[in-house]
Amino acid sequence: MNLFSFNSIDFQYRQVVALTQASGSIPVGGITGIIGPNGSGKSTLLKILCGLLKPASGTIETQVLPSQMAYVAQRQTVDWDYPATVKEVVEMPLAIQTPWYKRKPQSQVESVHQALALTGLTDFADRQIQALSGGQQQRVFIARALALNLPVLLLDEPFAGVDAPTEAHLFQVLKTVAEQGKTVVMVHHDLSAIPLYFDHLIVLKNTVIANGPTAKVWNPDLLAQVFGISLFQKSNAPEELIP
Amino acid sequence: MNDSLWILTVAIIASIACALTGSTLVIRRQALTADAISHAVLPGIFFAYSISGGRNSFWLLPGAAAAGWFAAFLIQGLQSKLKLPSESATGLVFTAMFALGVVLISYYARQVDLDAECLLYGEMAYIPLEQFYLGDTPIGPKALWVLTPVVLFCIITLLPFYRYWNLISFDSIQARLLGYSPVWGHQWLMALVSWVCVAAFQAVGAILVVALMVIPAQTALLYARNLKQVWIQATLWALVSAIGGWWLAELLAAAYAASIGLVSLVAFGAVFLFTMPRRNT
Amino acid sequence: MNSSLIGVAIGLVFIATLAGILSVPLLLRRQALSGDLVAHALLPGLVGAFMITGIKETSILLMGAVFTAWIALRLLSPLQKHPRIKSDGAMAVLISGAYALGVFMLSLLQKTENATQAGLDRYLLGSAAALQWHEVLWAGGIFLLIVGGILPNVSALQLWLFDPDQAKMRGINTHRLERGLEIGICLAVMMAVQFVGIVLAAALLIAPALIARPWVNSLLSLWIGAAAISAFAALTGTWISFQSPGMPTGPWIVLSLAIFWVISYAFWYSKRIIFQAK
Repeated sequence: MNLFSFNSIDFQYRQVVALTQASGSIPVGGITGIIGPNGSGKSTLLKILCGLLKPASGTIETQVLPSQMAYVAQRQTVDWDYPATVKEVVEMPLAIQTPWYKRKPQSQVESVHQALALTGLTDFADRQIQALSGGQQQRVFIARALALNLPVLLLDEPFAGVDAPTEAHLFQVLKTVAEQGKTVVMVHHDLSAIPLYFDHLIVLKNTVIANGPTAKVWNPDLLAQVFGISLFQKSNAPEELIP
Repeated sequence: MNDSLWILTVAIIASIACALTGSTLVIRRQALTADAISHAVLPGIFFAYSISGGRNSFWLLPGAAAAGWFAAFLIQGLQSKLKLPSESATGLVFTAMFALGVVLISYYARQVDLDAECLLYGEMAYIPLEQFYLGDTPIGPKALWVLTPVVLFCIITLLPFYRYWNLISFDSIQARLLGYSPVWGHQWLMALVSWVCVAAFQAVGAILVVALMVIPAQTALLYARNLKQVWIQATLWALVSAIGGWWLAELLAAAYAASIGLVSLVAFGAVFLFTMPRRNT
Repeated sequence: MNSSLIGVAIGLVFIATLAGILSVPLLLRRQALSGDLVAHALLPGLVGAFMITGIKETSILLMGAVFTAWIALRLLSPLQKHPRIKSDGAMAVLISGAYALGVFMLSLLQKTENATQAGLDRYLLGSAAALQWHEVLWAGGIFLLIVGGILPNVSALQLWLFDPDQAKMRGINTHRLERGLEIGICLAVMMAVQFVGIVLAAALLIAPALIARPWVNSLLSLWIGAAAISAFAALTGTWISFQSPGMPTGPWIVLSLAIFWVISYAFWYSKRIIFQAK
């Protein structure tokens, strides 16, 4: 059962073509990765999936409404010098649903608490976001999405500029969340750990090059084709030295 | 009521209006928009005066809002569609609109009773002289009657909607996804700023409106922990500036508005030095 | 009437062209509103110089003005070192604060019934029609001074404007270039403010580079283009304003620039569309 299916999507920003005749699908559940070189339209595709952008042509079918999707934008879309604590940022999308003359519902307080605990931010709850490191800021962004408790999570390069331990921890969080039945769709910015992270892949280079379960789709030739590099190079060393 | 006290009252009301709108602008990195709009409203004021044929204040507010919106719209358009750097877009638009205003006022000087200098510098000492009358009884300075509805507008549309303003100012993308349009807030804020500019012009003059909008707000931002605190602290600093400036002006027989601006600057300087992080090696 | 028209035109051409030349580095360093800051920060120095010396001699007053304007410019970066101050906040605080200080000082003077200070008001709104020939000479002199400062340093400026870090690594004295640019702006704005007023002086340091930008590809041509555009705007504005008595010159120069900008971008935009269609 596909959560998203899209057909012949075209999108361009002024002169630059981001997506051309892109077609593919994303199944319900598990972690799907959208990968590709710079400028291949990954962020654009993600934004189209959650409804932030409308394609010039093509169709999309989704099994859930946009209001059931939590979107985590790239970190730099926000001014991190804004006066706010970690807790205030995480509860912002929930808080706005309560009118000012009513108290915050207990369920909301709980969700925020859990999201903070899951991302390891409980001790940072009252810290100003200005005082956070890049990795901590990324955790805040993810915690905010988790607090909404929605079935679908869309993340745009959540591991960019984040150190290895934080990336490992955050991946575990996403894995836990996927195991609870949510669908996670993630734009990944580099080549590391692709078979490890993703159950399904969309390989993008302005159009969909490959789409399907990672085990079936992922191979070195694909890497070469899409990223223009090869992992296995013919060595010029004499044969005896090749182990 | 004694003249000086009327001036103080107007100063206090103006400072509240300026602090609330100004701090919302500053937190959204739109501090220079205050400067821009305060100049860009000039052609709008001209058209309002020429329509009403006199000093009828009613048309001023729509005229100012229209000019302010137009300026903000142009600046935004130049930045997003033509990719102009924001300071260049801002500078180009407001100076051109200001120039247009000056030209219109000079050319139609006879038909339009508008004292350009008074508009630019304002003179708070005249406030008590221009009163509204109910029959034969003066019921308060005109400036007060124009400012009060504006300040109420600011309070009513900003404070209860704190969560909305906070969300659209911090993360407009998230706001859109949740179904809250950041565009409405932005437009409304531009209108508020334009109205405050015009309402306060007659009292404190153009540049000093900007000072009251920006300086107490920036002072508050130096140490506030969230938008609500910024609003409150900015208002407090604006009140300190209004009262302190009024007192200073009475003491030295200086201009009221400029004294208020000066006090706000000194307060900013003090808080800046106090909150500046010590450099760690 | 004719010789005064020519005198005004020449003086304004010098002033506008100088401002136009300086608008280029400002655009490239994204500091377009520095002119606005300087224009407002001249006031306290102007009044202060009079208060301290009691002499209403132009050169002394203007030195004081340039001094405070320069200080205001220099305060921009230290202010932004604070984690909660951004470039727009620093700029807005300094612009309005410096001006408030200036008006405060002026009002202290005004209460002392000192008749000579009345002329200080003229500096605020500007008055081009009163441009005297000796002021034209001043404008020309400052123009030559600054152009003379730029020409020998053109290649250093080119690198610095494009890539400041690289320039530093190549041993270029970027501090000297920055200070030079600041002083140049202060002098240029100081001249401009007297004749077109505060707000409009700022426009002269913003628009010309912006108008020329889409049409040129090198720094030198950007400079030449901006200079030519400002000179032309000065002539156009002066001519228009002289068509009707009581019409101020400064705003017409700015409006001319605005019209040129519209024309420039209209052409550029339509060229782009035609180019795309091919």
